[in-house]
Amino acid sequence: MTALFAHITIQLRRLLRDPGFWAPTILFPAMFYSFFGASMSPDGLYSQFSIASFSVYAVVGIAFYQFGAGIAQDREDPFDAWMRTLPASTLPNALAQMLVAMLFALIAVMLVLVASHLFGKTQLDTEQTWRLLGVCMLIAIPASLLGIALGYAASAKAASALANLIFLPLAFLGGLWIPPIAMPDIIKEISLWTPTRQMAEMAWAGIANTMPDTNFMLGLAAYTIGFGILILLLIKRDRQKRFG
Amino acid sequence: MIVASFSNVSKHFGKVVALKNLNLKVKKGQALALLGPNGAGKTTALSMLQGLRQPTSGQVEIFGQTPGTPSAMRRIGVTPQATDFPPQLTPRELLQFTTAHFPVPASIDRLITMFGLEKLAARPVKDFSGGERRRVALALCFAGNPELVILDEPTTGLDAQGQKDFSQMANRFVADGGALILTSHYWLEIENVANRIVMIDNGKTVMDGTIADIKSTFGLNHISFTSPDPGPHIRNNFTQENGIWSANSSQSDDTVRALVKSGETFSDLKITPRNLEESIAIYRQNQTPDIAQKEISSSGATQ
Repeated sequence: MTALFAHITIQLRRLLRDPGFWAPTILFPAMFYSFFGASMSPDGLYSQFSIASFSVYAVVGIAFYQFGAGIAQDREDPFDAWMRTLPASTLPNALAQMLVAMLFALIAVMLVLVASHLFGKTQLDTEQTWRLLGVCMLIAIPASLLGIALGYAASAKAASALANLIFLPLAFLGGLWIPPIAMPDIIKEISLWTPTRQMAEMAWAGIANTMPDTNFMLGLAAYTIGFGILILLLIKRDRQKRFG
Repeated sequence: MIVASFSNVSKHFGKVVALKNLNLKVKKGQALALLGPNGAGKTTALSMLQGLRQPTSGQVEIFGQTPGTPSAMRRIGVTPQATDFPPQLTPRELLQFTTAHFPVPASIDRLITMFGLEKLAARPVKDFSGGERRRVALALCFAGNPELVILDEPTTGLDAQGQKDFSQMANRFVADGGALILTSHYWLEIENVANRIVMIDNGKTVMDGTIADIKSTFGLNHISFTSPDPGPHIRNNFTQENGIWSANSSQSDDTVRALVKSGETFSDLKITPRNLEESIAIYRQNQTPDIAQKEISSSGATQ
C-alpha cells in the first residue's frame, strides 16, 4: 500500500463511519435545489443554470465545511502531530484530503443532478452534464484552496461558524441561490468581484457551451493564486504557533 | 555507531530558554532515559529529534541526517504521549496505515500478538481504555521496524502486566542492537529498561550516567542509628531527626568504619539501599555546581 493510498483509505474510513459530519453537507445542496432552485427558476436555460448554480454551491460547501473545518480540527488533533513523525506523510496527507474532498464534491453534484431529474423543469443533456462535472472539478481547486485557508485561519471550534459567516454571503453574492439578474444593482456590482460568481460563470458557460468572459477567468485565476499565497502564510504561522 | 546527537543545541521561545547548549550523543544499544522536572526541556529535545521543532542554534542529527527528512524518519519510531487516535479506526487499520510509510515494515499480525492486541484488533479505538490505547501507541511505534525508538511516557495507563511486557520487549529491542530514548515518571520502568540516564534541568544536561553511577554518586545507602551520647564525629557527619542520626553515603563501609573508629557510642545501626527515585531526589535537594556539572565518565556515558 502506498502512503497516498493509505491516507485516502484512512480518511474515507473516518468519514464514512461518521456520516453526521458529511451527510448534511452532501445532501443540503440537492435538498436546497429541490425546494427552491427547481420550482422558482423559469423553464429552459435558466432552469439549467439553476442546476449549475447549486452544483457550484455543493462544491464550495464541501470545500468549506468538510475540507476547511476538517483541517481546523486536524490541527488540534494529537494524531495529526504524530502523523508528521511518519516519513513523507505531509504531501500524501494533503493530496488525500484534496482528493477525498473532490470525491465528496462530485457526489454532492451528482445528487443535485439526480434532484434535477426528479424535481426540475428541465434536465441537462449528456454533454452538458459532462461539461458541468468537468467545470466542477476545475473550480474545486480554488474552492479547496479557500477551504484550506479557512482551516488554517480558524480554530476547530470557530471553523464552522466562520465557514457560515463567509460561505453563506459568498453563495448569495455569487448568484448561487438567485440569478444575478434578480439582484439589486449594488449587489450586482459586488457580485462581479466574488470568487463564487466567477465559479458560477464558469459553470453557466459550461451549460451554455460558450467561453466564459475573460475577466471572470482572470479573476478566478487571481483568486486561486491569492488563496495559495494566503495558505503559505497561514501554514507558516501555524507551524510557528504549534511547533516553534 | 551514533544514532542521535545534539551538538551545542539551544532553543529559545521568545525570551524563554528551553535548551541551553545541549550536548548529547546516543549510541546503538543504548536505552536512554531522559529525566528532568516539568519545563526542563525534555519534550523540546524529543520534538527536535522527530523533526517537529528546529533548534535556534546548534545541530541535531539522526543517523547523521537532519531530523524530519524522509530517509531519517524511516529509521525511527515514535510513540505519542497523547493517545487520542481517530475513534472510528481499529488497531489493525492504524497499523496498516502506519506500515504503508515504511519500506520494510514489521508484520502487522506479529505486532498485534507482541502487544497483546489480538482481541482488540478489529474493534474501533473509541471503546478502548487508556491502557489499551497505550498498547496501540507502542505497536505503532514499532510498526516501521525502527532502529531508534522515541517513547514519551510509554507506559502511562498500562497495568502491571503491560508494564512488565513493555520492559521485556524494550530490553529485547536494545539487546538486538536498537536504541531507545524514553521519558517516564515510573522509576521502576526506568530501572528496568534504561542503561543510561540523562537528566536535563533548565535546558542543560546536569547528570549523565548509568543507574549504578547515579546511585553511587548521589547516595547508594542510607545509614541510620541511635546514640545516647553523640560525640563530635557523629555531630559533624550525621544529621539528627526524632532521635535518629542518619546520613546518605555512596561508601557506606568506609562511613561505618570511621564511625566505629571514632569510639563514640551508637546502637540500632541500619544500612538501607536507596532506589533511583530517592537518589535523584537527594541529588535535587543537595545539588551543588560541581556535582551538577559532573559528567560521569563511566560505561553508561561512553558505551
